[in-house]
Amino acid sequence: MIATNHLSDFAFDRLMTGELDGTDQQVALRTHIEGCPVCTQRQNDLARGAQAFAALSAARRPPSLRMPGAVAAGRSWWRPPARARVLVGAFITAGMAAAMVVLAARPGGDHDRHVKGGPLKLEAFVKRTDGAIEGLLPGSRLVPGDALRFAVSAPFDGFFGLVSADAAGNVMSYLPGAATTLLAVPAGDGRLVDGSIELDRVLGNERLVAFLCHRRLDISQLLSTVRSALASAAGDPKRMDPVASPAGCVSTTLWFEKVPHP
Amino acid sequence: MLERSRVEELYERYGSLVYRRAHRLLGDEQRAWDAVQEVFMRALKHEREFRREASPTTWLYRITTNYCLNVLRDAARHSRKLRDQNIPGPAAPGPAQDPDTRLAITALLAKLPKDLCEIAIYHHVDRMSHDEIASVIGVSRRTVGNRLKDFQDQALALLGPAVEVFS
Repeated sequence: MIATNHLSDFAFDRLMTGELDGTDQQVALRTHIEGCPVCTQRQNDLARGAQAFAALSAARRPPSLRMPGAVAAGRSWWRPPARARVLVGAFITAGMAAAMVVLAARPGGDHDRHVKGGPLKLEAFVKRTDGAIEGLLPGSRLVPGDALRFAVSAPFDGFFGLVSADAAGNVMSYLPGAATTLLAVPAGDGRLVDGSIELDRVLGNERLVAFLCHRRLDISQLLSTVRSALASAAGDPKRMDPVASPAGCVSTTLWFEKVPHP
Repeated sequence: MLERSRVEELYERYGSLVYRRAHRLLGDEQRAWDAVQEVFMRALKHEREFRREASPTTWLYRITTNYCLNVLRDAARHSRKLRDQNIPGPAAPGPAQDPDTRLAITALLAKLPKDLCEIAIYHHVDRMSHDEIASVIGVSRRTVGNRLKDFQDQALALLGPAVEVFS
């Protein structure tokens, strides 16, 4: 037994969530707390923590808890973007890999198998400014302020980068964001990339180019590749496909159109 | 699949305990949010198992602990691999401690059986009684005592008698 007679957090949690309501145990614990300053203090601390969590989690609430109907089933929620067009937490975590439960809910999904030898696949999900979430299809119309998240299916263990080219001629790194080298990504299907991107005010076509490389290249090499492709397409991101990849890399692209708010 | 209203209710009621627990074990806000997400996704996915539980708190404690333990063990294995190659790795998740304690805990988590680590966390970190641990993992009090003794013996064998485990 533990030397102290104070209540454990486990006991507090059962008490405070109402699981012990109407039981003798509830009475015993309440009696103890009333006579124990340490436990009274702990209970107050936990109550304050719960309030702080409620405030913090409002922005992080799983869309499955907000969305109506069938699309609600098991979707990941979004982290608030730090600033426009900057990827938040631009890395793939083990935790996010586990969050692929999310994607398993998609129709036709087969996300547990590896895809060694298959193509590189990039999937994007858009969270609209009204909170609705949907898969991004080529040519989808988005508006400034919409947020994007990505899932990658990598055919081999490699290094991943995601570059955007927009109608104003801007070419920038979405992944690895501010870092200079590509992200290590294990082979696997539908791995959700952590963080989200909020679209800026530049309107028109925009193309996302995803690269998976055998070597950890510097992002500048990918930016240079995309700049060349954009120049070859006379500055129209929609006409950029296919984009030639640096040696040792494979790529895939996806485009959308950014339109003004209705 | 759990009904949306039911999930919402569970999140409102239990979200803070899952977050607090994950934050305590992982020592990192971002990873704690990942844990909250993962735990509630599991609740969605394993509705039948979840519904059978008389105490959602018990179920969530266990799932959260195991999730965090996996994260910590993966990080420990990863950093050991990097150390073997003389590559300095990123700081492994976990509450901040002095470097010696941190190394000791990392070694324990990576090398000792997961079920022993789980019980040790309930006992040494959460300060739960043997009765509470027994109710969470579904074994007798006697088994809890035996496993804690196993943990202590193996930890001492691994780290030497001078190290106080999870002090």
